[in-house]
Amino acid sequence: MDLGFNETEEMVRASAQEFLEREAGPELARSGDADAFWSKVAEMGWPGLAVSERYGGADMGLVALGVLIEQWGANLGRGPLFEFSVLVSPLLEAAADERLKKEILPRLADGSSSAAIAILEQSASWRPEDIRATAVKTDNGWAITGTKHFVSYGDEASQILVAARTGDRPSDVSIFVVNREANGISSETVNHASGTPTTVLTFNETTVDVFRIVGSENEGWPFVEALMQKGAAFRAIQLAGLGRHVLDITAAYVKERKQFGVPIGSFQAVQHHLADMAVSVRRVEQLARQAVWSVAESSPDAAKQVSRAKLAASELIPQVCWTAHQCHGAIGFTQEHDLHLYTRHALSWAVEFGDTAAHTDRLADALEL
Amino acid sequence: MRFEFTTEDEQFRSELRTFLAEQLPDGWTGPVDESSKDGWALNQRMRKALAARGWLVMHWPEQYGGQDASSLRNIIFAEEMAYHRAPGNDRFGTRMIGPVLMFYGTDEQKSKYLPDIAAGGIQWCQGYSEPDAGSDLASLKTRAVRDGDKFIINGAKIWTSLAHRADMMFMLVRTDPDAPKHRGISMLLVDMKTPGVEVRPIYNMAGSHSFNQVTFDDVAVPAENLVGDLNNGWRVGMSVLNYERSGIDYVAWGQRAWDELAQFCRDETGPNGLPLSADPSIRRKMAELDVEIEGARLLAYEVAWSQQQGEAPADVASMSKLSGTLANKSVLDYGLQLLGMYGVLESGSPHAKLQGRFFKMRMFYTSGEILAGTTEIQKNLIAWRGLELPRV
Ligand SMILES: Cc1cc2nc3c(=O)[nH]c(=O)nc-3n(C[C@H](O)[C@H](O)[C@H](O)COP(=O)(O)OP(=O)(O)OC[C@H]3O[C@@H](n4cnc5c(N)ncnc54)[C@H](O)[C@@H]3O)c2cc1C
Repeated sequence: MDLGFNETEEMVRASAQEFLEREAGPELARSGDADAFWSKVAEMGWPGLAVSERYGGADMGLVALGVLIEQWGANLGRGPLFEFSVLVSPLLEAAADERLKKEILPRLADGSSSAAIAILEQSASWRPEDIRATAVKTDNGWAITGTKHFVSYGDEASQILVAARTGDRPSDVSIFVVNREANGISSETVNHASGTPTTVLTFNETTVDVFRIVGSENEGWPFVEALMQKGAAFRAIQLAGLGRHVLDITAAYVKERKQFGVPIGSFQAVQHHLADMAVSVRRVEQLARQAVWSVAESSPDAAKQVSRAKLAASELIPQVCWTAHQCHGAIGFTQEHDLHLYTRHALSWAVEFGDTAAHTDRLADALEL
Repeated sequence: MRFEFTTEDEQFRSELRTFLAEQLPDGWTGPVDESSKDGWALNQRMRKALAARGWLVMHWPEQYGGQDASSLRNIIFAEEMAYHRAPGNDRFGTRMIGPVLMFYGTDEQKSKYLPDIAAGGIQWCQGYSEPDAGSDLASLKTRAVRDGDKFIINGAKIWTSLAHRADMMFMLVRTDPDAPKHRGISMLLVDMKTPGVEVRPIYNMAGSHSFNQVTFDDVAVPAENLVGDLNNGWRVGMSVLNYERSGIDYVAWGQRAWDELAQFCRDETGPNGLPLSADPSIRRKMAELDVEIEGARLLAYEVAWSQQQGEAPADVASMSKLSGTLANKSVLDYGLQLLGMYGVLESGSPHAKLQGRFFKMRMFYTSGEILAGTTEIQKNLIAWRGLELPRV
């Protein structure tokens, strides 16, 4: 057992913290335009952090990526880092056609283009039978038709990972990598509480080359499962980072804000709030790091650890944010104060990659109840 | 013991409901955004209509244009208004400064202001909090110095709700800096158009302009605008707080959200093809929330009932505010959980469920536990006043 960071992990943590505190944070979260930031992220080599060297990455593995995403969460990093490095790249490396990998991975790994995922539909559920979009065979590939909801960076991305039905059994789902420039794609913007650019993408007989299917026909569902699990583990660690940051700014505030002639942090009621926050954050940190590690190691316990981490993070970190608001009083209720930016992200991440109901059921299954 | 309202009270409730159905726009779901022009216009129209029915100040004595309505009748009014998210219920005028003037005001002040308040023709705001005087209100620093027949005010108030809509402010100022902090405070009435008064908007985290910073730069106010005795402002000013601390508004908002959520659960199909309301875990949680709301409602009723008996138990008022804000928050939190990924689509978004209202309300009602005495301060009061526990 070693609950500390090794040398590489510590190096990633320190450089991520140093860079993100300087370049990201509330100011970036408020500004609509993140292009300049994204170029710097690309220079850091982060999109390719966990990508193999042969496709232009640094091959540092998922645990190091988890360390990075924890800091990304703490500083509200913007841009499709999560989408590509956590979700799309491991899947493509494992299962895509070599031609496709050569064509798109290096450009995604160096940040010159980006990827999004389009899996969920109107039901917002992660069950195979809820994939209604279809892909039908054509002379030289596939044609995809259907509507995908909650696509983060759906307009910015150049490659979209799409799940579509290719057969009649519930699990007859296949995965495709669709060029965003392909025919028949229309998008509608929705306003997401986190401020993340989010679209509803509609595909109307969108043509997809035959080599753009990932894995075999009708065998895409396990990939979606794996992707959801990674998403949940990494959202949990991202929430842990966010929670730690919110705890830090609140602890600093209650030391400084005075009422009744003393810092409000000297009132036990306030101290107990901070103590509760600290316990929550530390628990979520450990659960989330364990979850990321077990995903990285393909541990047989991964399903359990991920659902535990996601459930704890989704419940406790929004609560940490609400308590932080309470400790700030009216100033924390304003738009100009940064606190609500964290709260908005926490509420959003809490319901992504399986909400509480979904992970409660999954955990109960994994526990053989 | 009798846990029901009288037939007359119930009749009033149904008359009020009919009135609201007629007066509110078709399909009204609220809450009103008073920072918008239309929202404010609706507020003003509703207020005038309530005044015309005699309901705006029905809790006032007849001599001031009221109906001497009982506290219980009055709580029905507040409950229905909040449940329907109906604008127009003017708490600063009719519930705070109006009653204060009846008790502490001079005859001139009464005849100058009360008829306008009763007619819904004037907007007040409450200038108490300052940047460094929040929970510790008595440390307020805004100075008023007597100069002939005037007071000259310098300083700043903050978080002043509706200051940007207000004609008048009732404010607490420091008039004796040398006295112990509770003894050097006075209440003044200030015309918001007086030179030197400046209102700067503050946007809240739900995205609307509900409160403000108000600065005072050599603002001259006639000496006759002093309410009560000089340096007795703490007592005068605190007399409005018991109204502020009844939790019925929060209970009714929570009930409304619960009802909307219950309907949503009946209408939406869950993964197993059955309505969400058939899901045992959802049924349990909704039932738990119902208990929380009903308990909080009874505490609010208890505050009103005690007032009717001529008592004003401060600790029960604190319990009521605390329970009401918590119940409302619990319902909204669960709503966001049930709405899942749809819960975090902002109102106005295509595809948002329940018009994105739950997210906006959850953000907005974060303030419930802060304003009018924070939750922590209420707990202190319950422990000190209700249970007589020792103070450190
Ligand atoms: C939406 C909104 C509308 C408002 N409208 C008005 C208005 O119209 N007019 C007006 O005058 N004011 C208004 N207020 C201000 C409100 O009254 C203050 O926010 C409130 O008194 C708390 O003060 P504060 O915000 O400075 O927080 P602080 O007093 O700084 O409190 C910060 C934290 O410290 C805790 N704390 C402070 N003292 C103690 C203690 N002794 N023991 C334990 N914990 C303690 C608090 O509970 C809180 O958690 C409004 C506030 C809001 C949010």
